[in-house]
Amino acid sequence: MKKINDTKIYLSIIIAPLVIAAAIGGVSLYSKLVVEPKAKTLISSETTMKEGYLVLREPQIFGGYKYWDSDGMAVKNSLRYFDKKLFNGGEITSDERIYLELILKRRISGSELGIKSAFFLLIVSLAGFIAYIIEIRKGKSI
Amino acid sequence: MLKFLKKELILSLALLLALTACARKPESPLSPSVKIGVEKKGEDKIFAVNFTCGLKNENDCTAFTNINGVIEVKNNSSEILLTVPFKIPAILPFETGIVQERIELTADEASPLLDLLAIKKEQIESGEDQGNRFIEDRNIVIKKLDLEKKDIIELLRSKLK
Repeated sequence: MKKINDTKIYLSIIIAPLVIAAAIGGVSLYSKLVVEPKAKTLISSETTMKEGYLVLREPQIFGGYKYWDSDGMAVKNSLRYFDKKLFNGGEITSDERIYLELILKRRISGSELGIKSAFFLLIVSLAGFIAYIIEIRKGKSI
Repeated sequence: MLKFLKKELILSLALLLALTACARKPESPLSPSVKIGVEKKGEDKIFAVNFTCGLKNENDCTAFTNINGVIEVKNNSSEILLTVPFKIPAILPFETGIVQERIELTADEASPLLDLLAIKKEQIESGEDQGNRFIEDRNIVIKKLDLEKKDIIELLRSKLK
């Protein structure tokens, strides 16, 4: 019986998750290393809270604001409140920092989920790589 | 295989762009209702229709501004009974914009609307019926809806300047 060459399938198992992991991991790491510290610093001072809110208003890819989970509802209400306030020229006070921290927490959860997903995809890619090596060795021994 | 992947990636990116570019417009009015009363205007009697409904912005990052539209109330034979032009300055993400308009109708113009809502003229005139009615979804439609879509961050940033 003719031996089927599976190397192309293994190559796709290596490359596709690797590309997705690089995209997801890159975005999530950028959020964790650049955006989140910046937002945290901005919301810690009353004078820069509005700017901090604008940084947080852009959702993280895995922490979108339109999802209907229980945490999402609290974040959604905070966004509705701050959007209206800033649109009408209002100020954010230090008492309201807790709600900004809630939005920041959402972003942190999103980036953590992104990093974990990227890690999982890297494992899939690694498994594909091992299977690829085995397949090549088998091919040589026949 | 790389060619195949390239094609898939381009398709995925195009789909992502298309999905993010299309902010959802309100498709139907929320909780539409009317309050109809009789008023005297000079020698004539007019029917004052106070129309109320909500328009929901379900987008998370897109605000609607300069909203200009027309809502139509139709009977079960699709005849137009009431036309409500309206303007709303802005509806922010997750918010519901309120349409509140007063339309004045003559007795002849109001008659088919009163029939649809099962309101008797005499009972409104005597004050026996307050003229408050909800309009069923099948009898109402957004005929025209012009609006500007703005990214919420850009909109709020312009307010900070």
